[in-house]
Amino acid sequence: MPEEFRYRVIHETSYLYSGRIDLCHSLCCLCPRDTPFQTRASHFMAIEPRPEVIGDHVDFFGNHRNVFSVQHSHEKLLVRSTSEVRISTSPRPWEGEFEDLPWERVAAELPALRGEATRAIGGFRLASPATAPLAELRDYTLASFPAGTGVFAGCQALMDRVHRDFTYSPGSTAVHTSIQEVYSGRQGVCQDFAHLLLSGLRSIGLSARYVSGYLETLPPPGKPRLQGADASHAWIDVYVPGLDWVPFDPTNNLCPGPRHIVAAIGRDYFDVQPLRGIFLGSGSQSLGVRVDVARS
Amino acid sequence: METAEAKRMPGEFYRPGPSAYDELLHKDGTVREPWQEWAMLCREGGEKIYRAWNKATIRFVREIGVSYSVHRAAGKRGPWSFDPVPWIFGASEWAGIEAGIAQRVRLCSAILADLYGDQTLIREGILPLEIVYRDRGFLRPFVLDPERNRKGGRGGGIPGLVNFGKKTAPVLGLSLAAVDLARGPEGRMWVVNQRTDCPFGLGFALENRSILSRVLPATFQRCQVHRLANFFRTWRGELESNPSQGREVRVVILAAEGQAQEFETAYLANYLGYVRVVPGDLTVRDQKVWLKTLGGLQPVDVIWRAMPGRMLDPLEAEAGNVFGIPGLFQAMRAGNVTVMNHPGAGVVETPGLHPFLPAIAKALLSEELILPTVATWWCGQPRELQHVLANLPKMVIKGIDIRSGFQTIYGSDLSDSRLQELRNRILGDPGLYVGQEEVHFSTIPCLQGAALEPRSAILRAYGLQTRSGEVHVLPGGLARASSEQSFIVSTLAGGISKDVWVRSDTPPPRHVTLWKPEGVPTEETNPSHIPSRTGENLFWTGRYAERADVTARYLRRILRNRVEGFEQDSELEERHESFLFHAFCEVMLIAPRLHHGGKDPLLELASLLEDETRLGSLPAALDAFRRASHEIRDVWSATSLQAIEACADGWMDARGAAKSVFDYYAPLDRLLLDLTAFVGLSLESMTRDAGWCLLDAGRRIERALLLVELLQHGLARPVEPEVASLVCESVLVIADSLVTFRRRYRRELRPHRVIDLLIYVENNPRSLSYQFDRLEQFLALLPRDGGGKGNNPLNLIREARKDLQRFTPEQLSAQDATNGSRPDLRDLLKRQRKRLLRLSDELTMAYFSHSLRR
Repeated sequence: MPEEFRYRVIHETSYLYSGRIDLCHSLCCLCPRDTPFQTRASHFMAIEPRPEVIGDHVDFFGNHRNVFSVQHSHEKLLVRSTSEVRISTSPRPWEGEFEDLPWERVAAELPALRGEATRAIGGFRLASPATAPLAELRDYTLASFPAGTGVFAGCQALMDRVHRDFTYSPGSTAVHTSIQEVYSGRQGVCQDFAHLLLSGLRSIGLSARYVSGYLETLPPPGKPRLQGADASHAWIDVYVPGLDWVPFDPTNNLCPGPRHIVAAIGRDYFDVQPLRGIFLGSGSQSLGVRVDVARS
Repeated sequence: METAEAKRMPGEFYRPGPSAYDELLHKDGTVREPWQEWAMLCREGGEKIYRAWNKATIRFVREIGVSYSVHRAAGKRGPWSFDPVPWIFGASEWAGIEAGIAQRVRLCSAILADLYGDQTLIREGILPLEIVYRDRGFLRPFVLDPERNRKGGRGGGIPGLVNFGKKTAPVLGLSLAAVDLARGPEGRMWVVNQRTDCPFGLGFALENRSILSRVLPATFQRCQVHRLANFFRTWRGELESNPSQGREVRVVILAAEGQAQEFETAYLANYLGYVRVVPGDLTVRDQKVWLKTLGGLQPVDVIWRAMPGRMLDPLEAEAGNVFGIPGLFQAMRAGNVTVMNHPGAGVVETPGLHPFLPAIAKALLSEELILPTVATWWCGQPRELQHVLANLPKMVIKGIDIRSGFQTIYGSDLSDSRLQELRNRILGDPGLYVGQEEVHFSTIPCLQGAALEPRSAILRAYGLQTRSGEVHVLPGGLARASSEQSFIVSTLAGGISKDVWVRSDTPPPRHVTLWKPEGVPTEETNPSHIPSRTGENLFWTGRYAERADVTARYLRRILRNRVEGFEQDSELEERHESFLFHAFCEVMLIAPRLHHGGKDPLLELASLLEDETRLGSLPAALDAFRRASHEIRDVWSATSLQAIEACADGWMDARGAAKSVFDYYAPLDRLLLDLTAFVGLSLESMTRDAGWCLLDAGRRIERALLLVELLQHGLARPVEPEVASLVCESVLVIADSLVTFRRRYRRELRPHRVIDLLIYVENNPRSLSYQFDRLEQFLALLPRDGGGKGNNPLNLIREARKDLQRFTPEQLSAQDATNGSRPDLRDLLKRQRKRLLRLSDELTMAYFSHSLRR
């Protein structure tokens, strides 16, 4: 096994308008961030038509943001983000031996964190707009956390149940579908499952965060093709003392390793929407997204 | 020397309420020191003086109180009523309050700097993270990335915004803060709230002052009341001291559309001399903010915002928000615009802060709080939660996120079952709530009818922090009292509003003026200072005023036919009436609901007089007129506003009083008078700037359009010969030119003479030529580089005039032998109509729409 995998990620978004757009301001969250296991080698944005204004900054969560404005009349917009990323293949800490602390103890200690950890870890135990607490979801979550269960073990059990109880069904939900609907409908996409887990885990006092990212489009020979590989993917990170953040992918029922590429981190999807735009002009729009991830 | 007896307030005049503390009277019934002069006035004047105050109040509220009166004009009851009894503070007591407010403002600023900077308060556990992070007023886009902040990359963060931070004072984030104060039973002032997002009420405070200083001029002088203007001058200096590239700093006041507070914002904008804008007036290009004006896009340097921070930029604020100015935050990041208060300033409004303020003050300022906050417990802590739950009936429960829509709950109001519900709700998510001790605030006399009654009151005070960190406190404020005899004074529910007098030991300067020094060009005359939306609304105000006028003239003519008749036989009069109805409907482009032998004409007439939901009716025209004029309430003088009100209100009153359509005859006359008054006032009191030109252009285009249609139906189309002369007369009456006709021609009504008078006579203000004349004259004054695209509107007018000159009245009155129509006239009018409609479109393109070009 090589020490690292190299990927080239292309995330292409195209808008086609029925009328002319005179002014468009956009905010992107497309540039993959660095993690303890991942390094970004390059990132390039291609935008058509050529924007008059471009800029970039780092947001509250440490994600890289690109902003641009197209200030002349146009009928379509194409945004192509190309990045090269290296991911370490070394064994992840959670694959080895560790002490899995009882979840109640962790939940009790999180609010007492001080220093940088107060916000870096503590900030993610709070409900966010898309992950509001839900009584039945809390009960559902608690079923995986009998007294004394370790955080890691509990999360794995919960992920396994969600994977079994819920149907992965593209198109069954939309961006604004609430977790209430997802919970009672028992189906959704990766983003919904991530929100479901986040709401449940936060409601029992654990810190968990939303991760947006990518999967390899075509698996290497002998490996199964993972769900969610044709578009951008989503999973969660849970804070496990001693291990730091541990990823859980409920859609594929596994703890992500070198085949998951992290793009951005936030409280929920709305913190890391890949592309947000406000258009000035008339007419409706149609949207096309294409993601291509290849080993290089 | 006054004796104690003389200081006593006669019991029949005022009895304090059940509260432990009354602002006017000591426990023993003697008058408190600062109120002596005022009490003397009451003692001497008795009930008579109350009646005089009431009268004067009504008069001055009408004259000055834009916020109060505009509400009235909109047919709504204003949220506030004005009370002519001030809240009076002595110099020494105020000094203490002033110091406390100044400290609060400094503290709020320091908290903001910390929360949007390195968050020491959170990292050291002085303030629980939850209170900040769950508040929608906390705007993550403005929190500095810790890493970049350390590196100091690209100017150390976000210029113009982030001179924030403990070490980099001066603090730029918080400019104006409001602090709500109330007096507890022991006479001590407590802080109830602090408002930092967009603190409202300053406009009201100003209005209240200018009303009350007129109602009680002598007492006002005798009390040596501090003037307010200095504070506003300092504020304006702050707003304008922003560095910009070698030109005057442009400040705008940004208000959301349809906000309850927009009237006072308009008042404030007028007082400070800034343009009041709504989000649609601004656009971001090249990471700069631009105001769309009649003279094209103009750069904006400073935005004073009267709309919530989290609504400001739909691109970066919370999902689903559709208001605001896309790209604004990026423009701030680029350092190209200053927004005051800072968009994220709302976070220090949360009542969740209150329990932690003493510790925060110690940590950030090394100071003890001068003004205490009403005792508050945050339910996110176990012990505090227990305390709140155990004392729930004595608690006031508030949500920590004041933007969540959670309404404050008074435990004392609740039944046992409701208390249980509340308990469960809190236990469901304790961190979202605080419990606050219910305090019975002091009472103050309020004039109710002809008697003084005690009411609970709170005082909203204001502090302004300058760039140097100095805090100026407004010597005055806005006092609000409950309208009922209860202790609850709510911001939302409205109530009684009062002026606040702070006495000075020395006589204040007599003249404090806000006027800019000589030599500064006035903004009025420059078209690039008039927002396009203002221009567009002026244009439509002009059009609708004219439409209402002509509508009223048609309906009056029809009514006249019914009331008096024209001494013709009834069959002829019926046919004439039918002509009027049909012409009216076609001119106004509405479907006639009347057919020969069909519906009762009186019902149709009633519908046109009364049914505001019907397009083309008189009330619909008046409503459109009022709406357009209210959109730009800040451009009208107080008298013009009264005239606008008179038109709409007068007609509403008439509708209320009318028992049959015949009762509308006099009100129609009255309405025509009021509309003329409005037009006359705008003629007399507005400068001839680009905005005025558009108001006049609107009137002229509408008048010309309606006249063209009137002539089309009355003269160009075939008319039965028997009614022809009656129709001619009606045409003249509706065009308000009958008297002119008689004086000018002193002869029979002949079509060619009517055509001459209504089309060609250039000095008849009702003629088509006259409208073109005026249009040409004033449109020439509009900026040429108006920004938008489109043809030169003047060419259209020249073309129209040339077309008229191709004919004589005699030629135009030539009839077709077969059906009696006038083909030349018909075709000419058709062409003119097309041109007028195109002219209206061209103006829209050239001055009101800025989507395409700069």
